[in-house]
Amino acid sequence: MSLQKFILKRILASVPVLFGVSVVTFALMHITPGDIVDQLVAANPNVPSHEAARLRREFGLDQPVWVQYLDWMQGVLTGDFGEVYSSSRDVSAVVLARLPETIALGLFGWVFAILIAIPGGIYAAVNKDQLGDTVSRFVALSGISIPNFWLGLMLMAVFAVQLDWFPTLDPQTSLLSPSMLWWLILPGVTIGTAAAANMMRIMRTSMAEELNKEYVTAARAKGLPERTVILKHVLRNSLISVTTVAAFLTASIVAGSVVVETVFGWPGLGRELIDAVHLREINLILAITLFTGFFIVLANLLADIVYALLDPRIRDEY
Amino acid sequence: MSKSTKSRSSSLDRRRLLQGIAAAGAIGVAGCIGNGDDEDDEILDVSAALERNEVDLDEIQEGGRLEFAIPRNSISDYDQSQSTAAEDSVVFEAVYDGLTTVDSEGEYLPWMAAEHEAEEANDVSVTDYEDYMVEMEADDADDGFPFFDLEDDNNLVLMQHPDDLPAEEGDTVRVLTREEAGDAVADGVYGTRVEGRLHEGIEFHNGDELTAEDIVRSYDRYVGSDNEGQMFDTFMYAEALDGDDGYTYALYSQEPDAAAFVEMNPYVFPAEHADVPAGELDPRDDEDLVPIGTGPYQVEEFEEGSQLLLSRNENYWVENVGLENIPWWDGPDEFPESPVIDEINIRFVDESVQRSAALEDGDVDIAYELPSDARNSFYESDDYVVSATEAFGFKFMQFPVEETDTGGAFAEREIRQAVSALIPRQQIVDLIEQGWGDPARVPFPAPSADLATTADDYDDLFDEEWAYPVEPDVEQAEQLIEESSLEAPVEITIQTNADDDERIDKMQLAVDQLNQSGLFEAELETPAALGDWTPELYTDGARHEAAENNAAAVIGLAGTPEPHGFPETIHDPDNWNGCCNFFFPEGALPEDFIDLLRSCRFATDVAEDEDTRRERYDELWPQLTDLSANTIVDYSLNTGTASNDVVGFNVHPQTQAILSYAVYAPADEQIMYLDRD
Amino acid sequence: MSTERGRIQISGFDTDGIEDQDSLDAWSESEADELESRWRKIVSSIVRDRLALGGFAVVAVMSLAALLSQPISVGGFTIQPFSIVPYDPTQTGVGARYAAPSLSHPMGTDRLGRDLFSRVVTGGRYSISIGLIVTALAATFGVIYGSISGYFGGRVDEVLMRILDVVFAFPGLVLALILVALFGGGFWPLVGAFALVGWATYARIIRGEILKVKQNEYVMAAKALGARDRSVIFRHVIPNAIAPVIVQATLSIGTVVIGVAALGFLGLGFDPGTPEWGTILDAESDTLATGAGGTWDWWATVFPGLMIFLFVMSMNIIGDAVNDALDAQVDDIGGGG
Repeated sequence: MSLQKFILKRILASVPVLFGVSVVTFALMHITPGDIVDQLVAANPNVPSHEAARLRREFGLDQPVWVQYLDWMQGVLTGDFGEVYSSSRDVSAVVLARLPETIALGLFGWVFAILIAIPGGIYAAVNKDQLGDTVSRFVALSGISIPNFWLGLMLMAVFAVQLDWFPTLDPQTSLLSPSMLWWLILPGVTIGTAAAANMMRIMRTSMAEELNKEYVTAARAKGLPERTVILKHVLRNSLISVTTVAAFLTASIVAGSVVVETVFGWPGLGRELIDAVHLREINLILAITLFTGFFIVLANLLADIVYALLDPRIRDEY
Repeated sequence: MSKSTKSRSSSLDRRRLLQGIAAAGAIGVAGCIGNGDDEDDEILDVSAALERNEVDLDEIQEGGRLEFAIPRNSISDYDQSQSTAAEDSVVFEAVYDGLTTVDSEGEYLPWMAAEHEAEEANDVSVTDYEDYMVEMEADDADDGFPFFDLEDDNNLVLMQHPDDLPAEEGDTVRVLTREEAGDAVADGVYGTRVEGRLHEGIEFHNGDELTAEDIVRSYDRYVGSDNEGQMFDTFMYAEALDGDDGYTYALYSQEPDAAAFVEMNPYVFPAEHADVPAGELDPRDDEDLVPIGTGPYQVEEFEEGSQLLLSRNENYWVENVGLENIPWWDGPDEFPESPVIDEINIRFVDESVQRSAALEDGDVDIAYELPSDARNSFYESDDYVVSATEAFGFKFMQFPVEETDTGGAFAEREIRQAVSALIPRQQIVDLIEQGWGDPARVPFPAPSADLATTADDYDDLFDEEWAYPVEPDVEQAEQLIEESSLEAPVEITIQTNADDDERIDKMQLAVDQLNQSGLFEAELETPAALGDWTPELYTDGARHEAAENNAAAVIGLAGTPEPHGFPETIHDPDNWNGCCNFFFPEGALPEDFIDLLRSCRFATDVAEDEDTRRERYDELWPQLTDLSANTIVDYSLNTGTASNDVVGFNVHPQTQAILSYAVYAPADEQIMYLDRD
Repeated sequence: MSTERGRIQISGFDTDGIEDQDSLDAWSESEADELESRWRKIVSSIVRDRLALGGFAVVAVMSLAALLSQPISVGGFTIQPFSIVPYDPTQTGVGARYAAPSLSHPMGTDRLGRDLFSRVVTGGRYSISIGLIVTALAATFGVIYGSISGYFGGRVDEVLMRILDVVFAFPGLVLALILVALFGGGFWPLVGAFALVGWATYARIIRGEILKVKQNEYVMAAKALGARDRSVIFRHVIPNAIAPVIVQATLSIGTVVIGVAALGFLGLGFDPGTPEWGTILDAESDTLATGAGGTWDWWATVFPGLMIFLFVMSMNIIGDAVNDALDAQVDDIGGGG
């Protein structure tokens, strides 16, 4: 099977997955009691009792579930994700407005993870089973074991509140300015820690494996300097295995954003999702879960492609 | 899905609990009140915060940019006809001035209107509109309540003929729509008529002059909005009396209504926005649709979720009209005729921890809704000012009064009264609010007192026999139980929503007190978060189930200076299964009580004369507390914290007005300026 | 989820992709011996590895302390009478408000004067028991699901795997969050939510293993001899493919613990006031704000978080040791919350 065909097939295979995501989310929202109107009128004494019925009608929530779903689906196919009931704004406008914030945070987390994990992993592998390796293993283990919300709280308490090294408020400059970078550090580190630790462990393992391979022994025997051996040959090969797990890590960063954005009051999609879930803003919840689903499917697809490029046998499985 | 937290009260020594917390509370505030000697069992004294921060008019500095933090991560809706979020109003009250304003005492005063008063009231009900109604076919119906398809987008059905209800889809129903309302008004069929006259020379930010037509047309914007029900429940018709370009207007309500002069006032939109459908006036979606009002500030810059900058309206109407032409103005001549701060930068800071930190770092000048300990630290600090005022939030306990075979304890008035008598209101405020609250002594809060009583001083009411005790009155409770048909201890349950720590803590104290008395065996339950629990309470079976379990429900609400909402919301059968009457359908409470309650607002005599209304409320309150279908636990304080860069900061009892009031409010000679040195 | 150790997996990049080649040969020996020796390997490797032994000790002590912290009664009958913590964890006012750590309150007190040490020790109950139950449920269901899919292959496999893809397309924590927000919090809803999210990983692992194992001679032989499908799956295939599942299960306990705490922190897990680690953190996070001149009551947020960290870390250390012992090479993508 050609690579193009493989990719096409994978893309086609992801369509039913996204469809499934929407069905599951939609079903979940509807089999549970309570909806947005309940939330809007729950504690608002100014709303007359028949107003709830009017709002449900206006929002289309009085229709049978499958009609609502078809309406929604019809909208989605034309790029209309419906409106946020409580503010009557377009869902897509809200999602697009929040997206850059989450991307900035995720990207920072990624860069942080790479900067820590690659050198850390190399160091650990080269010094395998020595003190340095043990220490870095321990650090990496801590990284995957620490709850990110607690890490965020502690970083904020110590560095932003007590020591006051970092700002607690958005500097209100463009996303690419240096002061924005400064403001990104704490949440970025928080969100990137788990990815860094994971990547470091994988880097170490694959690197150590490579170092045991014959070509390394041969290269060493040829008298090539250790530096050259590691950087030129071993690193390149072990980076491949890191690349293939990058998709997983991206997804974990996406998920982490929900919690980390809440801790830091970061105005991104994760935060929006929490608010939407509390308010039962179905359209918004659907859009965000679909979006993250799409993102994860895409990341997996990329990983598959990279992997398929590296190992053509995989393609035949599909 | 109900989860219950079993009270451990049997093993809990209440005295120790109270001492433990009280002593600890004092540790946090040691030294703040100046006397370090008896601080050990001292509760924080918040009286300094309740005092007004005065401004020396000669010292006022013009200009500057105020950094103001609101506890939200964005503006929910820029369109005020649609917005239901209180935090949106905090910002847009500074952009849109009202026909009336409210001073810090809760008194309504005319503002953009030179005059604005209820002129007359007619004793009409829905059937009196019969002759003006048209027949319409119900397009759809929900639970007997019909919906109609109207051709004109600005039209809607105001009332339906009661004889035609309930209706099903396809039924013909006689209805009065906005189109026919004018005919009824022309024939003198209407509830209350409010007549008003605008000051001449008020301009919108876009330069258009405000005329009566703008007011009339502003109502169109509420059609189809989330606020539609709220507006058109009262309002029926508006007209410009001296033509569209004139300044006089008349507003008509559907029923005789003593609150008509305030309940019908819209946000006033300029002509260029009059045809924008509800909810679409949002610059994030269309950059041409920036809110335009007549207020002291206009929207300058905005960015989703991160920025909203207001700049001072250089053509503010008070300067054109002159303070001396505002009828009630009697302040000094040198009082400014507009705010002095140039810009207000709204900061969206959702997390209370970050608001506190930003205030500490000097990144924001004013913040509210801070964590209580942080607020106490700011209060003690010389570098910050905490301003507080009695406000409209209240917590109430509602009893299921239905008689049932099992349970049914609350069907007996004495049992309800006994519970009410035992609620440790003062301790609840002292310990849980750390003093930043007000124990309930009467069924309405201090800033709503203006129209709610003939008493000159709210505090005088505390001595009335019908007032709630602030300290638990065990003796009285004992006597009440004896008078009842039940024997102590009576098993009861107190329920409250699961997502409010403070409320749960407060009710834990109440439960402990009830058990301590030996008269009750009380248990605290937290069935679900508010938004999930109240819909359960709004079901028909809820009152029956609650009555069987002897379960009283506790939630919180916020009212307004217009006092009627306090008794109405939690008693009137019209609100049954809506907010916030869970247990009293028609007939559950004595009819004469309900009649009396309604006659405090919806009657011609009270609509025409405020003093008559005050007297009517004087009749109501003793009956209301005697009935004890609900009992009020406490009232909130509104607080705000400002850095010393801000001079003259005072909070308003209404959260929505917290910003607009602070920057400029001649009614209380309130002016605030920045002194950055 | 990052909770499901961020294990957002991809078809084609299953364990079969990473799996060592030599394991195939190793597993064609006698099955019973193999199983027994595997457990022995796990135990001996934990004993040999001091770090793992330490981790095991921490987990054991924390679990035991949580179990014995307060009496447990079921239906009015006390099945665990011990009460080793110094105070009732829900009793208010046993100390001052935010009293700093001292001899009588080793971890200080919270805003209502409750003893934090008692709360934090008892708090292990919620997280640890949910972690265990969820892992047991998820692994059981996942293994059955994955076995069916892998063993039968073809259309069945295709359909079952697409369903799996849908589950994987949700970040696990997000799905759990939606479930709990919609169905309400509490012990069993949380168990349900995390089990519903967690099973998919096991299904995918076991399927990958089975695809390999079923090519083996003995399976083919068993089938050829007329053994029924069910008996082939349970007698031969699963025991031979279970190694990575054991590793994943060990590692996922920690993940679930973090996930439960994360939901608690978001205010979705338990009622406020419940001595669950995440819920305590949520309630006490206000202490971070000190206001002008205030001091940070650090103990209120440091200790509950530290307990989660300590427990998960120990679980992960054990997981690593098990992984090494079995040479299963489940690459652990995890962490966060």
